Amino acid sequence: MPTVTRLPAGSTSVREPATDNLVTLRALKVHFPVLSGLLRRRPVGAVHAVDGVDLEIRRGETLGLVGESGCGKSTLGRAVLQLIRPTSGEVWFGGTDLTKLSDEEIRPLRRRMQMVFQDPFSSLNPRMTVGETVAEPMLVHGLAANADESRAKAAELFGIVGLDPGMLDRYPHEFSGGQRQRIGIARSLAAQPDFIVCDEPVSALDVSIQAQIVNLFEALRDRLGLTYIFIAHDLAVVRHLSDRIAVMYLGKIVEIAPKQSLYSSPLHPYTEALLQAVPVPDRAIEKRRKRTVLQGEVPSPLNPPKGCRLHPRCAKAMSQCRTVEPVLKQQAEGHWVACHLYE
Amino acid sequence: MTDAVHPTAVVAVSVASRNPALALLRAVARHRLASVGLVIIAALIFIAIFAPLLAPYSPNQQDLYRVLAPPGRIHLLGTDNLGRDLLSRLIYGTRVSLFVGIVSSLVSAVIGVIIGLIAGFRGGMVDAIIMRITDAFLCFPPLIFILAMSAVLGPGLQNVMLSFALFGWTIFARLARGQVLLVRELPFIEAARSVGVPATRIMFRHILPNIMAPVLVAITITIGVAILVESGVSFLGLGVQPPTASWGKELRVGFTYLEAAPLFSIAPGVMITLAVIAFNFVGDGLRDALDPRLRGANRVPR
Amino acid sequence: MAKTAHEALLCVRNLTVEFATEAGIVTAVDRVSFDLYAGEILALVGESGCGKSATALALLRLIADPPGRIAGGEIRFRNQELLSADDATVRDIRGNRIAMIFQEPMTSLNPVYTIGRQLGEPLELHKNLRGDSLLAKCLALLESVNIPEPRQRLQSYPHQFSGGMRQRMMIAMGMSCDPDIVIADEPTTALDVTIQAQLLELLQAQVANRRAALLLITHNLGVVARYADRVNVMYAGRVVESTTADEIYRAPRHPYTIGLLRSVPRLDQPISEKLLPIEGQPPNPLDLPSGCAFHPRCPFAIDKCRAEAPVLTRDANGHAVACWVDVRA
Repeated sequence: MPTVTRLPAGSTSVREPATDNLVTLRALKVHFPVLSGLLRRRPVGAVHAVDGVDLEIRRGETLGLVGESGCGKSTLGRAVLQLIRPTSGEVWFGGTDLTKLSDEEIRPLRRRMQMVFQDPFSSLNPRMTVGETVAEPMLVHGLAANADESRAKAAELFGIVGLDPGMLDRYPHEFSGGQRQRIGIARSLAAQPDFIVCDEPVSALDVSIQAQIVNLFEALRDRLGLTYIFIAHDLAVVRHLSDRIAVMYLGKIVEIAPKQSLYSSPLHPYTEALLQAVPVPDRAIEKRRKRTVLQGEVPSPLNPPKGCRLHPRCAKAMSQCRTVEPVLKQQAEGHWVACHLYE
Repeated sequence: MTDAVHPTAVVAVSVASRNPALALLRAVARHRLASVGLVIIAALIFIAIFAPLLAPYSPNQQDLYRVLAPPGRIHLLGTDNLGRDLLSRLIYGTRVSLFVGIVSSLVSAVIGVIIGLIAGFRGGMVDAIIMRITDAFLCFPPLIFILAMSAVLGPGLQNVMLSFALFGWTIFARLARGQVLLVRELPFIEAARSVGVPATRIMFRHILPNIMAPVLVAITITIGVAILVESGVSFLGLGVQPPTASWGKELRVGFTYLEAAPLFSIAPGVMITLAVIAFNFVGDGLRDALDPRLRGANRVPR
Repeated sequence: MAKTAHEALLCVRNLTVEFATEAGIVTAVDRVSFDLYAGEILALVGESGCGKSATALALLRLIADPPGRIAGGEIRFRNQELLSADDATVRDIRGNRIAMIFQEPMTSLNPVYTIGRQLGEPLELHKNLRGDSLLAKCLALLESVNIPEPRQRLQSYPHQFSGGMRQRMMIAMGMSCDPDIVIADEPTTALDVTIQAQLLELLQAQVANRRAALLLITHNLGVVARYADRVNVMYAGRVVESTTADEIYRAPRHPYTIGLLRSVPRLDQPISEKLLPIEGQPPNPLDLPSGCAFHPRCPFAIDKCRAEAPVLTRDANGHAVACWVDVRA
């Protein structure tokens, strides 16, 4: 694996041993062609969902990935797992470049990298019992000798995620949203993975249940030594779980920092806007807070603005921002930002 | 978002029956016409199974002294042109017609659904080729096609069923493919892929069970169609061979003697009509039972 | 921000809404009472299943019957009782005196009519505007919600706009007849955070300009802290706590409110602090617990809570709670 320079590093130590990274993304791009025409479908453009992302994730780390709709965070998560095949770039997982493998070759590797989905209502097969759903990864990867063993392990997993093992033969519609999400988590753990991409796993849940599930993620990570990419649009939720947080806008990472620095001293104007847009459930604090609102609409990823993608909406835009696209540069220990204000 | 409206998710064990098949039957029975249909079908199946006990005479027992007798005490529905008891022939004919109807429909369904599954799941060239072949078959008027096939294959019950299946699969292939296209995009399919489930298992274990609803409806309605087709084919002389009785056969023979013994053709006609209507009613009931259950869950605002 | 008139603009008493489902009758709203005063922002807070949306729909008699049914209660709007009023009266009030903004901007606008047509509809019906004056009013409305190039927008169709813009049009439509009351049912839940912020600021400004009252339905406690004057917390179809926004954050008294406030992750709280969830599951509306619906999840529950459902009682400061236990003790 070639050594890499000038990438946002996961550790704060001076030397960055390449083997410490479980996942490395290099120049990752995912473009969806837009076809037009009735008879001969020609590409007339592309949705630049992910437009050049470099990232390294250390083993055992939780990387929070935030951004609003259209920023590409979900696409990025899927591209890492090769559920969507990247248009270009590299995805290194434990020493192998996944982009060079065929679907069949990747299948056995899927054992080690799993996903937890956003919608607890549609991410479980309504025609399979929950026990079967949780046991399936074990069967598919040959981790259980027979049906009894997989069932026993499924019961164990249920216990780990806080569900009653007696409910293995029920169907998904018999459970509440929070419970179904726990089932989804149990499924993702069934094959004993190293790495889990959590795609907005609490967004569809009630507020009082969100905290339960976030705590569950935390407990599982500590107990099983998992590595997470935790995708969310809620900055407060992500803050709780993550070690580092990357902020995405229109397919690019605009800022990435350890959580302390990101929240106490956000550098990128977009990060600032995001933080200000989130109201705090405290009257006294809200009365005192500054409220500058980011104007304008989120541009379409079909036609991202030239130069810095935020410039049409940024109050601090300079002439340079309209023409030259800023690059991620390190401003403090582990804190990288792509903005002309800091050059 | 938190306001995904799914009251069924919160309703745990209070749902009447956890067995989905039983719950479905119950839902269908609630539909008035469908329950009538179910009763008729149950009666027909009963008749078919217990034909030897129910039929007053052997269907092939000729009584040449009482040819084309009108309905009376000895022969409740009269006799046919060879003096055979019409009632008994119809009772035994139930076996044939039901058998042909159900088997033709099922065989078409199995072939068609598998082809449709593959087409919908694979997409691309495979899908395009399969769909063009399906279109080609569908260019033929159905009955003509089946008759032509029967003529080629020769008479006999098995050939009727085969001919039907050779055409009937297209309906199911189209239907299944359309459903697959919908289900394919659902999150739990992506979840199965992410787990590492191989493609064949996804097709048969994940997609297939979730497209069964409209397929079931189509099967029930196709049974009715198949019974009609058998009647038509037998009516035209292909299909069942003497001395076997089927509703269609009796209808055909009876037609020749329409003036002398009208009951000879009316009775089988009534049986055919009853059966087809019954299966249609049940099909309607199934459709209604399966549909609002999916939509009705979203009607309660929170 | 609160401007209390001596008389309430809207008085709701013992409102009860039921739904017939396959498995039984669900009482979505159970004897809910509250007042709404001119110029204030009242928040109805709760999670899914608490009955807040059903309450809002009932106010405008928009409950689909069947399977729903307004089973009892009284809604007085400026001394006009709404539940017993005839259809013509209610139609006259809808969109005109009481306007509603729904949650899903994707589906609340009719895809086959232009924006101009939909925006103009309430104006035509209630204000009898036609031709040039209608056009002028529509343009003014679009400008007031910061929609650029309003003239072109009037000719366009909903699908040509983003969720945020559509919701702004909904706000414009809602405001068009200068209503006395605006009901906003989770108006920004489906939108991005930065767009949410824009929209809520806009809504607040619009309502303040017209001195209308806003009934804001939400599950987001941050939004409530930022915008609401008074708060009603709902659980399992009942109001469990009702007081001013200041008070509810300073000294919440119902265990559910306390639990909710503690379980929400906050940007300002120290990073290392653990999240404190409310244990257990939200109640099954078909099989509500006996007595107080919250007791299975309540750390303060006593025997009485299992036996008898507490009544909403107001103390000297106007802070109302439905709980047998005084958590301040």
